[in-house]
Amino acid sequence: MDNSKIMKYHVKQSSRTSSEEDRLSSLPDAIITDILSRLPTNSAAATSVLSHRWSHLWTGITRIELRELKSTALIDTVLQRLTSQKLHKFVLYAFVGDLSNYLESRTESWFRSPTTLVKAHIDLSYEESDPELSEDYLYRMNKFVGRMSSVYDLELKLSSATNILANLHLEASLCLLPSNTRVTEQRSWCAPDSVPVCLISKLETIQISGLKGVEDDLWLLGYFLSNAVVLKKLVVRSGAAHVKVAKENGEDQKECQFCRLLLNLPRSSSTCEVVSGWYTRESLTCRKLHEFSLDVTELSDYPEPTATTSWFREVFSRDVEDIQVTAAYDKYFFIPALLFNSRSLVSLALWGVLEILKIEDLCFNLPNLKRLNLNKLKDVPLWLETLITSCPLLEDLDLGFNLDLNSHLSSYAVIIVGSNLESLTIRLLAESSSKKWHLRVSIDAPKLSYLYIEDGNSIYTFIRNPTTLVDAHIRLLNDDSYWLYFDDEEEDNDLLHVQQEEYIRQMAKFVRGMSSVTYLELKLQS
Amino acid sequence: MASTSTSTLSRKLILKSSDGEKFEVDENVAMQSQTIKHMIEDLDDINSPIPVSIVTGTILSKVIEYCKKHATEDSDSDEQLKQWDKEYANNMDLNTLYYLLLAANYMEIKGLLELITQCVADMIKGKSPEEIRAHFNIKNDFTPQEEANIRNENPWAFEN
Repeated sequence: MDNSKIMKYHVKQSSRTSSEEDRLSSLPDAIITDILSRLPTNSAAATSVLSHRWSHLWTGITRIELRELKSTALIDTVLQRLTSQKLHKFVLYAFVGDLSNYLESRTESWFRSPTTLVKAHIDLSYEESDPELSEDYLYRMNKFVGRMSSVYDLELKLSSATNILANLHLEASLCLLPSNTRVTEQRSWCAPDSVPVCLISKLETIQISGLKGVEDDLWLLGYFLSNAVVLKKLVVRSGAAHVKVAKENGEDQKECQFCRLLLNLPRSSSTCEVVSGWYTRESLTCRKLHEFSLDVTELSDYPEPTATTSWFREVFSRDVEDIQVTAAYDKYFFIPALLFNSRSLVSLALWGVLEILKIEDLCFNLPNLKRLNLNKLKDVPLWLETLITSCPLLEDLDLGFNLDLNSHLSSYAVIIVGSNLESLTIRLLAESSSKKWHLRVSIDAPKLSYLYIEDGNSIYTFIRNPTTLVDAHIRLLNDDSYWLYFDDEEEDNDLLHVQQEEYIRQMAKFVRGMSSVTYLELKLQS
Repeated sequence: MASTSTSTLSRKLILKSSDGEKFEVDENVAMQSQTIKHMIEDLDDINSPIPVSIVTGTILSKVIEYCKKHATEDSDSDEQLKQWDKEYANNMDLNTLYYLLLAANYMEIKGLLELITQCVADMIKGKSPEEIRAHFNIKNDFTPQEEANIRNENPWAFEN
């Protein structure tokens, strides 16, 4: 018992004597500055008074954390004394109202110093939100952030209490990607460990300029797109001339890789629109555009006619060959008349509800068009016939109608004339109606080899019987009212009967006209 | 021979401390030290003891204790591991902490280095210069005039 007590005492004694040697001060500078870097900056600076050994150690700290500043002059004091070659973290908890003013004036001089700021952590949350101040504040902060040219890891802490950050303009923040680090590091931009709350819950618009169109940029953009849940718009402007960007899917197959990758990035916001510098002509530098594909169904602000006109003018100035437009079915998408006037166009596909601008000036000149796809047409427009006949090389025609038989149509008869037409697809969906009529479709296509018709309403006739037709799918189904009305409305019975007989007679004749068919699929209403 | 190829994960290494003590550890435990990792890469015969020249046996056993805990990641949750780290550091006296700092620094064990530096930082945090001196036995070699000058240079540092 006694012995063990003595032993314990001895152990305590010895450890005390050894710690009296002040081993902390004997540690290498690097370890001490690492320790000091973990303290609030003022505590670290306070160690200068401990002893001569400590008087300058704190200036090597690699993390700066300034909280509840009483005076902005302090920032100067700290930064002037700093000797660290690399700063990992710069934390500024800003409570002072006019701090932004100060920051704006000083940032430039701070970060011109040899200190390399690599990680900025700026807390802009302030308890009281004055919207007017906030906006100005934010503007200044944007400038501030923009000047931190060496930062590649930015963590912005933004107030969750205010809504001002619904529109964060991160102009110049792409200086976050310094060119010198880009060369040496694979990913010069590192996503912060935690995603800023604002990005998840508030941010609706992000504007980024200064992109160079390299992989790193995609990484950054991917970070934004995959984390911003409520994002409505990401505007990407190119900074360098070599960036190939285009509105939505506009791309040159070889050169617009970046753009395609950008638009394929996963988005967590279902309503996010990506606008990538379409409005600046310089941005699309490829001289020849093979394919232009535009999907506007998800757009919240539907494009104005002037906007679409300028888009298509841009596209056509680059001798586009293939255009695909997917528009929504409940709003009009404006198509400029110039769309039907192109010598280069080979393939044109338009989906959705379209409205042609300046329809009175409409003239068709599509000498090289081989494929035409018009779908979800709500009307049988008068110009349809003219359009088809003005495409002498047309080989593949695909028409889809969603007609409301109650409303007035522009035309009730269509003649499809195509001397080179090889493939014809017509789908017609008609909403029920008591008004009985048939759309008459006359086909004059001597080279036709493939025919697909899904239509329970129209009467089809061949002007010249196609002798080359080998594959025909005829689905004369009308899942709604025609036959039912035939039973119900006695007074119209005769008329309907006549109509029905006419219909059957015509269609029988139509089918008989397909003399050369080797594969025929016929689906008829019982 | 077939058994050695299947048990590559639990290959044993022998670490030798500065005072000649030998420790047999699993390779994945030792590999948490970047220094040892690099040494192994240069080594032809991994069966010979690897010298950890500046670390004593007492400290090395503590370092290995940490590495063992952190080598088996799946056994504990992050929370449990943090708790373990905390207790591990709290059980060290100042003297051991200094040597552990040097060992972690030399052996390049990032997690251990961070743990101990943070531990020492926490000891400094919230203390006045006088208290820090007392705690760490730092001898004040300033004259009263010199000390006053330093305090006047950085008044903001001493406000709290």
